[in-house]
Amino acid sequence: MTEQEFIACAKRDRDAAFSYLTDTYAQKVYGSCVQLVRNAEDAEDLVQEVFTSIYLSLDSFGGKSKLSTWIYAVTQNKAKEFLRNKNRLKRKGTLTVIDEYAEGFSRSTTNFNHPGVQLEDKEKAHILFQAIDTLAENQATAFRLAKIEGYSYAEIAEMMELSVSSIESLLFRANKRLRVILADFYEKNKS
Amino acid sequence: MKQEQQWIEDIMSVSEKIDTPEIPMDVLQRIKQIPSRVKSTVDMVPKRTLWLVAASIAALIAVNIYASSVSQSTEVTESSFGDAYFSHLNQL
Repeated sequence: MTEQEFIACAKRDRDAAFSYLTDTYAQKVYGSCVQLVRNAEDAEDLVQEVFTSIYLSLDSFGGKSKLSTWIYAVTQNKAKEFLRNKNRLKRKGTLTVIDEYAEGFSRSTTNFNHPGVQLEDKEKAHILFQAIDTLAENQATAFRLAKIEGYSYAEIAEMMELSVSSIESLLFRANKRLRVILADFYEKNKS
Repeated sequence: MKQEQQWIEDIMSVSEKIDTPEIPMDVLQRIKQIPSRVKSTVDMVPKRTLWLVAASIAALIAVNIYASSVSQSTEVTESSFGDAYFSHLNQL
């Protein structure tokens, strides 16, 4: 379904349009939520908040961007809000959690147990996630979207409002920087 | 050096092996029920009650405006009576 067809469908039958969105994007949005909040249970809550927000703001989608881009933007905003609220609750002392979220998207990977990682790769994935967290934010985002969430360069370019060549350049620098970080980690943990 | 390179490649290659996590079925069901949940929340307050509240607020505002305009005109009348009385005293 093209964006214009989707808008026409939403005007005709809002619930059918929403049903199309859940069938097509629920899986991807859940994957993004897991990456953004680093916790499967929080991701389950967040994905519902994202789709509630999408349902309530279906009319605001004007078709200027791709549906996937719009949905990712809603997901990112909701994740930021979710993390901010969680931080606020923690500061007030009303919520006790062991893992630590810093402001915004810089989080600790200490207890991050990604449900999509094979058991034998858990330790390696843990090191990789830690290394990704030390990258500059836009490099980390581009790397995560391309290598972990499997978006195309064109989709990432739209999501991040950059050109495809900028995304290629970001990924090149992210790869290079990750290798330096991992080499350093290897040297320090050799013994 | 070769061992280190191999280790780095191993770590980097993990990103290609990470599957998109499967969304739990119960969560998917709850997402699909969002339209009916949202509608039932909206329908919880009957439209008649909403109109009644809106009309009450409008009536309250109208009464306030009327009361303030009446009190202003009374003040004007009182002050003009006072002026006439004192000017009469001054003449005496």
